[in-house]
Amino acid sequence: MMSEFNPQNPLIVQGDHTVLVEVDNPLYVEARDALARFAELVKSPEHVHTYRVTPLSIWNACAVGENAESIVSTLGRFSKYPLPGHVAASVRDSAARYGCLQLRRRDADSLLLTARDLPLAEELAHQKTLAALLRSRLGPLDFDVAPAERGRLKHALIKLGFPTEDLAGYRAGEELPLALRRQALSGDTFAPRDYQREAAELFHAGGTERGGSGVIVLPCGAGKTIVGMACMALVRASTLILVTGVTAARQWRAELLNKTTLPEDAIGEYCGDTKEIRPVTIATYQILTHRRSKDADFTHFNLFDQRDWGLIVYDEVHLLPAPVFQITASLQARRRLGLTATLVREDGKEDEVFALIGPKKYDVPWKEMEKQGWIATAVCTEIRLPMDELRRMEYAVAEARHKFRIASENPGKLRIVRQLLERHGDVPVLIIGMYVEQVEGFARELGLPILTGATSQRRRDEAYTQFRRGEIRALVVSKIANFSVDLPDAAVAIQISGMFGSRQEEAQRLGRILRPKPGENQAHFYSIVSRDTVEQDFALKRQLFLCEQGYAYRIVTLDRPEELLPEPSTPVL
Amino acid sequence: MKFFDTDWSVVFRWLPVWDKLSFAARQHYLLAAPSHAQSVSADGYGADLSAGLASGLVEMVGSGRVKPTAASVPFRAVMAQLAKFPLFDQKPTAKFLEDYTRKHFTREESDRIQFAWNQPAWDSLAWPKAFLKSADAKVWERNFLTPFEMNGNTRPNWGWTPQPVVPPKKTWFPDAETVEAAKCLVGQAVETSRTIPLLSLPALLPERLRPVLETALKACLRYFLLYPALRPETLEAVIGVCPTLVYLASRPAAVPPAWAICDRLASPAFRMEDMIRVLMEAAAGDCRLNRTGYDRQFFKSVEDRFREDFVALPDWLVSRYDFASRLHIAGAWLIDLKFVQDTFQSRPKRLLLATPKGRKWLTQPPADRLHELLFAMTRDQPEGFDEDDESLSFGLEECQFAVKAPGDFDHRPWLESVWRQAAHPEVVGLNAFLDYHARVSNPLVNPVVPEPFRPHLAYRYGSSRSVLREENVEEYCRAILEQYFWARLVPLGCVETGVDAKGEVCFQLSPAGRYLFGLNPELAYGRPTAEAGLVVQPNFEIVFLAPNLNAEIDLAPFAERCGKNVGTLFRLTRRQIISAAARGIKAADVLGALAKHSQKPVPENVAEEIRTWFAGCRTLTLRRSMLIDAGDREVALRVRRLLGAECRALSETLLEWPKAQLDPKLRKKLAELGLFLESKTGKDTEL
Repeated sequence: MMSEFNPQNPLIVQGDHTVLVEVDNPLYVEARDALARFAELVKSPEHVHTYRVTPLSIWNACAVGENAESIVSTLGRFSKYPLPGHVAASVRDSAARYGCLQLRRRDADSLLLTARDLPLAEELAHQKTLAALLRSRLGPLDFDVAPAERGRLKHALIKLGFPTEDLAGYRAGEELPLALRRQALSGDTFAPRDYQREAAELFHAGGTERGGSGVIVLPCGAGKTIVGMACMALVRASTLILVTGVTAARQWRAELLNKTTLPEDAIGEYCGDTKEIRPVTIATYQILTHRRSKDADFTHFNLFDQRDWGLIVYDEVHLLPAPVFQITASLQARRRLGLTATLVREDGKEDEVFALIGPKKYDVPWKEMEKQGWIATAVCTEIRLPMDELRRMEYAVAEARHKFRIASENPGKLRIVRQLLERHGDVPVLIIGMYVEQVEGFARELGLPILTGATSQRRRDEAYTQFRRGEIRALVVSKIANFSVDLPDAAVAIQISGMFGSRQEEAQRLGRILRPKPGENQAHFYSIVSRDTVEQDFALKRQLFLCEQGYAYRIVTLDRPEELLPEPSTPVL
Repeated sequence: MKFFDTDWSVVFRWLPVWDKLSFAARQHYLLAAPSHAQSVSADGYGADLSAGLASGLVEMVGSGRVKPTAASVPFRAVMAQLAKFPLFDQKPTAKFLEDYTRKHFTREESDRIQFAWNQPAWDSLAWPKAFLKSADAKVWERNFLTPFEMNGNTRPNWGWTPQPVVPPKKTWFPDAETVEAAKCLVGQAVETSRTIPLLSLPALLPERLRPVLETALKACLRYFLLYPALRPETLEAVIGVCPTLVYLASRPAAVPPAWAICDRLASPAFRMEDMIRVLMEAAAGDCRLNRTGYDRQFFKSVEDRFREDFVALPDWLVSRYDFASRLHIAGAWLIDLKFVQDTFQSRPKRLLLATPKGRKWLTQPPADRLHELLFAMTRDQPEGFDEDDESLSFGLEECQFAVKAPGDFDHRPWLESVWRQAAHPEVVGLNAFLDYHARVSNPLVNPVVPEPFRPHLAYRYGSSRSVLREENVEEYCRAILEQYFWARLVPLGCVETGVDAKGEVCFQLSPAGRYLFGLNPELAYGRPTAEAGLVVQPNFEIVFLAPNLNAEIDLAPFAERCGKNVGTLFRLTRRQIISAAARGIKAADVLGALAKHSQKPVPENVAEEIRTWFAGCRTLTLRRSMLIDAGDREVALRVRRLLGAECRALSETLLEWPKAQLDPKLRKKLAELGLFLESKTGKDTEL
């Protein structure tokens, strides 16, 4: 047994189906590329990355032509130690389940679900959870399925452990002539980067039923919007784009106009007061989930039927609200593209994303993008600042539910922010906070413009424009900065308060500064937390998330409330 | 006697034919088919087919198929039995000989010989010599006849043994010629100390005794004077005296153990680490034991914690040291060393509680802890040592080699001299080392330890007892050396062990072992391991790229275990660090241990977080004091004036007296002022 130890190999396959990959190993790149085909990247801290082999990841691999033996042999080839027997067995078992069920189009009004053998067909016929989804039994192995139940059936089958090979195809949708410009309207030369093109092609899969639905995972700043546009150019059909807010909708619109051949009147906005339905329509999640009362129907769900959409794009898919999942289940005949920087959902519904939007089609660790220079190198620094005695006392006697806010609003943070602003000279800086009073106070004290949820859209657009042009050096923003704020020149983000250690928020906030920078391509991400408080405890979660994304995380601990940050020459800053 | 009580003349009839057959033909005749009734291919006999057919050993039964003739079937049956026990061609271990005995003799027959009162041991040279010296073989054999043989059909019942019938109903020496022939055969076998071909037996006897050859042979076999076998290399039938004696006389010269190749060695002092883990639980007052049950049985939840935390061992050690035995021995050693006490008698809640001695041991540096264990096991037994007490023998009832009680043979100097010889830079196979030193470093070989000091081995052969003799001292010494290896040296990290490509255990002395045997002046426990193969990640996980037991032992006290052997084995958590701080571990210790084992620098954020976690720990001082509620301000002032500056006012009417009790004199003075004390708890005496 011991003789099978191959220390030169980069993988350790563990009994819990996780796979550790040694980054410094000479075979790392080869092993990573092989592994990425059938395993999900769980975390990628500096030295050893963790992947997980799951039934979903195996089915995903099988869908693109892998099989159990190739997976097992890849694991064995790169593993330092003999492959645990049960891991190989479960890979074979999962792979054997793929293709057991196929869903095809029978005619215009029905689909045909075919089981590979009679026992499986019998099992399905006796499953209570499937009774309402299977219309009738057409033969020993065949079931009739209503097209409207396609998504729910696939989801239910996945819950039972049987992935469905969906070969029922997609509706072509209303044709839309669309191409990417070689020279943007702004005058810049434009071409999608290699990884953007590759991601779009993987999604499209040559127009076959093997592609057409899935999620592209790219870091903020890596150009997910461009991937979306590239997919639209491949599908060439009317498209519904769902985004998180009005600002994001405007940015999509601006990008489409700038980089595609779409004329202005072909793009409509469906949000707030504007309700335009055009060949490319951009709607917000908020408007879609609007209803007059808790028990009423969703007012705008009919948007999905108001045009023959050939493609639906879900921007920031990790924020997809539950009602949109429900409607998505009935949209399985349309091509669906999810775009996100992280598949981590705070509500843990990653499997619904997989089942209803589609499997992950493309994912590159942030650090890889950073190495290739597509996004800026980020330095994460947590500054721990003690509270003064008065505030400590207030904190000590406060109820537990108030402690986090007291710690977050430590006024001493203002002094640190001033020092950081001085230190970073004239680069664009974002100061991000969670509490409106706090960010207002900072804006007032620092004499900086502020953007909150209450700021009008016009004012926001003006501020963003000024910020892009460099007329405003720093912006103070509330939670609105978490989503789809396109600030291309932000090089420093200073987080003065956050949402109880939300990993999703951390990913988004970091994403604000990751766009490539001229010169050293270096961005700084600071979190200021009150020392020895629950805020510091919550910050640990965010720290773990960033470390697992591969960022070196530095901690500067100040001993006294009035203490200054160490000089920049000090290695920690 | 079961099978061998047969007609041996058939055997001697066919032996000349057998002698002429080639090895392949013999093999084909004997082993090609499981039964004589089954035919085999004639081709297997090769050129010997015609000789076999001509002699009548085999016959044709169809085209190209042959099988033994009816006349040769009994011969084949005897040969097949002999082939089952190649007595002279493998090391005759006790187990092997016991299997042979069980196969061919009834329990009564073998017991009468192996447990014969006041007779030489059956497997010693003295045994056949005693037969040769006996004036009357019939009288000699009465000592070994079973009750059935003595009394015919009358069988003994429990609690009643019939008087032996004289002369016995059965004898294996029916006449003087048989006795003479038997003595002749045994004498020659003893003299040569080698095996003798069965075929040559007739030639060994004078002409007049040849007719009783078969009877004499049967008697010799019945009384363990001679043993028959087939040599596996030639399938030649032979006999000889006890295989142990033949083995000792014919084996090659002893060869020092060769260097072995084994690239992954480990020397975890896991026994000490197990004890530390149990003692830590005992020190925290959480080590609950079941009240019912004779043995110490830990609460399931406690046991589960230990199961999680005990150092993981490599596969080749896991099978030998299972969790249950590790936990049991760790608890036993702690009790034996008075590091914990069992509150079974003293409290309703049964706990293992750490004693001051145990707590002191726990606070020592690891090397000092190990030192204390290493030398605890080499000390003499104290006055009043109870042999039934496991203490200090540490569960090694069979040979209390490491301690010396009156009447016991002191093995310690010998053990030390043998194991010192393992202090070379190369690894050797354990079995080769034991075989060699049991032979060449055996202090009991010559002269045998005189009778008053003979150690007795209990339960060596099942339920039997065996006395130490020239013939088995090697085995005895080997057993002690091996037991010492597995019970002391491995668990205390005195040897680095591993397995070679064939799965054989290999070892060499570790620094702790060298220290134990006086070869190193300092005890170095916890070596720096450059080849550590582990990485501390920025997300607080510790990933082992290769097994590293020493690192596991170093990290386990402050990191949370989340795996075994390789992979993500530990995670640094605040809870675990605080728990480590409570046990006196410092931030510098943690960072030092991480830096020592990690092949990459410890990430800055991890180092800083650990420092912060440690810095957040405070020690709060608890003290007893009394609160005096004076009721009003004036009384409070009077009391303070009387009690002096030690009495502190917490409010206008509430005073604190910083002691657990009030001096009776002060109470008296207060009473004189009309101030009477009353306890709220109703226990006035507490005041």
